[in-house]
Amino acid sequence: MMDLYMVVALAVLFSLLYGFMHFCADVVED
Amino acid sequence: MGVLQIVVVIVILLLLVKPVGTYLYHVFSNEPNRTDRWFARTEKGIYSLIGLKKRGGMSWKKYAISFVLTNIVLVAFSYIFLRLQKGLPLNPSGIGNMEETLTFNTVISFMTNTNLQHYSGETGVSYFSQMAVMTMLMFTSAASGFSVAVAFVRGITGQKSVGNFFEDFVKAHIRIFIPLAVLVTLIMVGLHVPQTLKPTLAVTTLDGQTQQIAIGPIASLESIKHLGTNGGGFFGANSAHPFENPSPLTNVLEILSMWMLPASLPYMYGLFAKNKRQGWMIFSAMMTLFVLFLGLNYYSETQGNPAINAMGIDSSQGSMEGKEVRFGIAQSALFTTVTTAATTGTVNNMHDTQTPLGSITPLTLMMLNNVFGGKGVGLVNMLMYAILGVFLCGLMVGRTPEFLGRKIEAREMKLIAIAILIHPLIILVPTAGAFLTNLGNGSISNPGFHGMTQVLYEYTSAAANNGSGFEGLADNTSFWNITTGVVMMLGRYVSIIAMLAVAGSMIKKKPVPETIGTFRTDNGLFTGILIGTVLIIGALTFLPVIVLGPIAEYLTLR
Repeated sequence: MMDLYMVVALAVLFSLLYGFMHFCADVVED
Repeated sequence: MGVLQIVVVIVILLLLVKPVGTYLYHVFSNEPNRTDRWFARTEKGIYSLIGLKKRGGMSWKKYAISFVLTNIVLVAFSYIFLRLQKGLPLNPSGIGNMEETLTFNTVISFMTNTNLQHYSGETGVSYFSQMAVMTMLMFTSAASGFSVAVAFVRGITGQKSVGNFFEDFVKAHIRIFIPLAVLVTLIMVGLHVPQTLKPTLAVTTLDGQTQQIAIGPIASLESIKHLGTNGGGFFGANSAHPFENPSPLTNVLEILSMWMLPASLPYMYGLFAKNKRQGWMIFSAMMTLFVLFLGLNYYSETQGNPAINAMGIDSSQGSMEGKEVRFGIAQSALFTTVTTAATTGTVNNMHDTQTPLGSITPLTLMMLNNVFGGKGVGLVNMLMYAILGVFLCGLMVGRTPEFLGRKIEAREMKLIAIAILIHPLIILVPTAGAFLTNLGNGSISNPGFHGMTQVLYEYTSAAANNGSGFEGLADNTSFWNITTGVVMMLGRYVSIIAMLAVAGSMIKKKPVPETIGTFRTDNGLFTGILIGTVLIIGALTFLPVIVLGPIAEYLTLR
């Protein structure tokens, strides 16, 4: 069960980074 | 004699900077050069194997996505291997599977080039894990960082594109890290560093007791550990262990291994910018800050511990607590300064037992995170401060700031502000949070001002992707494993993505012709401005917490 929590945590962190990448793209495109 | 040892190593480094920097430029400039005949065939085989037929330039966003997705795949494999290592081959000592939160921490730690270790290598991981997870990630995380740095340099120097991540990633392995790692491994074996797959030795001591002596494939890990500014040791004692670092000669080899590539990147940048003075300007700023903090550490450690001196104990050797006699103060101080400047995190002495003022050096270098810095990211961070310096000067004289002939506008400054501010945010907030809970407080082994520094050091090391620790902190708990794991992730990827976006923004701009009013960024004046910018931003964000930790501890010892 703990493995599931850890894998979900990793997935959430990488998803946040993906969102941040889109935020940066919006900044670049003004 | 101690100063002479330090000067000799710095002179050797200076002699290496130009040839190594030139080689790096030839590797990544994608122009035909002499190294092609040695490596091109191997690279073509890999490109056809992974289906990379067209190696055209990517947009910054595609480059960033390729970088992150590659890292995700490597994290997934590593997680599975560590959780199943008990049943996998090459486990002669029968080491069990790694605990879940520790696995979470370890895979992030090695993928982000941090190598923060909440386990002890000789008892926590099998030979298979040491090779297939730790050593593999040491290569790939270093190559990832290098690729990002080159992409950023291409962006701000106005190349056609930021490049192709997969091509850069393969080239970094084939032309830089693998050849150098093989060379350094062979030298290490020649200098008596073990390289074997035999199980732990059982020996009988002089008083008839049986003792277990851990051995293993150490030399191959040791080489890339330093070349890739990774820092994760085969043993818990890291490079203080005689099997990892048996002599002053191996100590110098390890220092140069972790320092050579980060120190050569500014020269490579100068070649990309078609103005070597730009590269030397960045290098001079880095070296000035380095010598400043090296001097602080060396002086503090040679003065000894004031509390022990007050007891009348001979302190002529300096503060030798936690240090190896075979290295002494000079080689310990130099190692500490290089490992935290280049954000390697390997240690040949225990930072937890350094004098309070001496410990300011590793802490501050990780807080600045741009004095040579880790594989690639140090150069990116220093260039980020250079652009900030240009922006501040532009504000003072009322001109639109320009860097390398391209205008710096609001969008670049927004991204740079994020990249600069994320670092103190992910250090100071978790540090404060740890003191609010027993989960954090309970791990401190030395309450008081030193305990404050223990917690601060842990999060600073995680955020800077350094990986060294004040090892008095009992950090192998779910709380520390998860919180430092999150900090390492944010410390690595947020600034890299933001700076790739800056590169993508700059590459689209038309160059502005240089005029008599153009603010030059390749002279001594700008080097001074850059150093001032780094120190002022660093002091504004971190000086209060340094006062609460090591400076307060120093005042109590006087």
